[in-house]
Amino acid sequence: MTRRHILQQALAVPFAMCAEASSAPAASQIISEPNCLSQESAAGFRSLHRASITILLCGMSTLGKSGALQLREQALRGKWIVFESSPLCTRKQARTLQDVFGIALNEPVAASSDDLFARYIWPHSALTRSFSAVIPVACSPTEAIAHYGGVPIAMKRRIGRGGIVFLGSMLGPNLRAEEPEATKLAAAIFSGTTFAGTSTAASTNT
Amino acid sequence: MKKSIGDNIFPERMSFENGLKLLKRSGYQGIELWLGDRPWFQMATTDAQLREMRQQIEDAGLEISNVSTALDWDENVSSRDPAKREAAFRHIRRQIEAAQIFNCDAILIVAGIVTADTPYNEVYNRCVDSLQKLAPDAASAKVKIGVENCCSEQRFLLSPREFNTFLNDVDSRWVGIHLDVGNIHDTGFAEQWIEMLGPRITRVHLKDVLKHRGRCGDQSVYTNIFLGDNNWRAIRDAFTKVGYDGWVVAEMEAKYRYAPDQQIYDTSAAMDRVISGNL
Repeated sequence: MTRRHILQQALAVPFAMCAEASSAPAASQIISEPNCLSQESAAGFRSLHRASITILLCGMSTLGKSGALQLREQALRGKWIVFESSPLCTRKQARTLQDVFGIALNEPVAASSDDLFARYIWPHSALTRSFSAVIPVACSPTEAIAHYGGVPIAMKRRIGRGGIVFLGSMLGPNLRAEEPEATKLAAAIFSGTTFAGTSTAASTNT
Repeated sequence: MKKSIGDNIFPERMSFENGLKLLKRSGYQGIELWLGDRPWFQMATTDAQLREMRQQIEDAGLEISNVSTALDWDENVSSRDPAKREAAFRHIRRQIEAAQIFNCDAILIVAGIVTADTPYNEVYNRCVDSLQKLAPDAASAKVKIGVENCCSEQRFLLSPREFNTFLNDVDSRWVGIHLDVGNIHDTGFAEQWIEMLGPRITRVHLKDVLKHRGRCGDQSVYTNIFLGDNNWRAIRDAFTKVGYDGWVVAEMEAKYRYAPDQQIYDTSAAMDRVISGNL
């Protein structure tokens, strides 16, 4: 058994109750929690074709350290972790993201009726509906991929041969609601080609 | 985005020519022409007279944003009376012809009026059938039919999802929605209509709405931009979201009692703020 197999098995254990392989031709993994928000988000994302180099976590609120460490290992080896946080993100999850990925979250901010949309600048410019509350994230301007009220709420960061995309505003429910802009945006995120320079490396390591 | 306003806003007794000058001075780029409202544009107006109007408008430095009508309230494609239905077809086809002469690519109609004795399903099917018959005329003229959402007045197509289904049933890219952001009253939110119907919007009417008044009272439910309950920031963002960059046309029901020309200036300034997003 190779080191890679050991890691893959280890990763499977904490998520055994909620991980599923994609039915799409290029198998990526969806990880969700057993609550209605996370499940709704997963249902939205499930309809998308997702590149094999991605691992998607939907509406997460309680990610623990061991799971996060395993995800980090996957990222180091070439996977892109798309981490969608629930607006009900626990302090434990926030600490985990800080400790394992160096991602510092601020307290969730309730979305205002004066500003209904998250503004993405990557992979392309788009406005999508924000979801009740958004989670501001401290990151460099080059890492920020979306803003709400001028504050970064989503970011991407390279980790080893892969990386992590953190979404502080839920996108899955928008997909479930057939929001065209969200669908286009998510499709672009998961196309695989958006993670420039990572596809080839990933395909030889997973 | 480009700014327009209807010729029915011209102060009483103002000539067409002076009205055009007023619009230009107020900063509009276009004019919406209402078939049947003012003496200069009636069913009896000839093609030659329409060409003359177009020349006057161009000479004034304006374009024609769209051709609208209020005739549908009396002569509707959903009427049980065949004569009225025929009349509706006649004036809609005349709008299409006029739009061609005016070199503009959109008309506004009101399709469907539900009443106590003309029930909803009957109106729905008749409207779909009628628009399917009119769509080839629109296609050959390359003029889009914008079906306005006069939701409360029509008691018809009261949600964006239903409007979308209606357009799916008509199934022509030459038939879309002329979206009035003031007409949604308390049954929904204009920005959600924009988000759901974005690519199908032919033109936009701008006005504000006082949601608490409803349509049955003795005071108008409509008011000037920024005086009502519309969420203008959300509306502007929604236009950006769906990529709508076409004509926005002011439609003011409540008129100034004094200095009526001032309303045209004020509306123009308010529209500038909406367009720029400086809200």
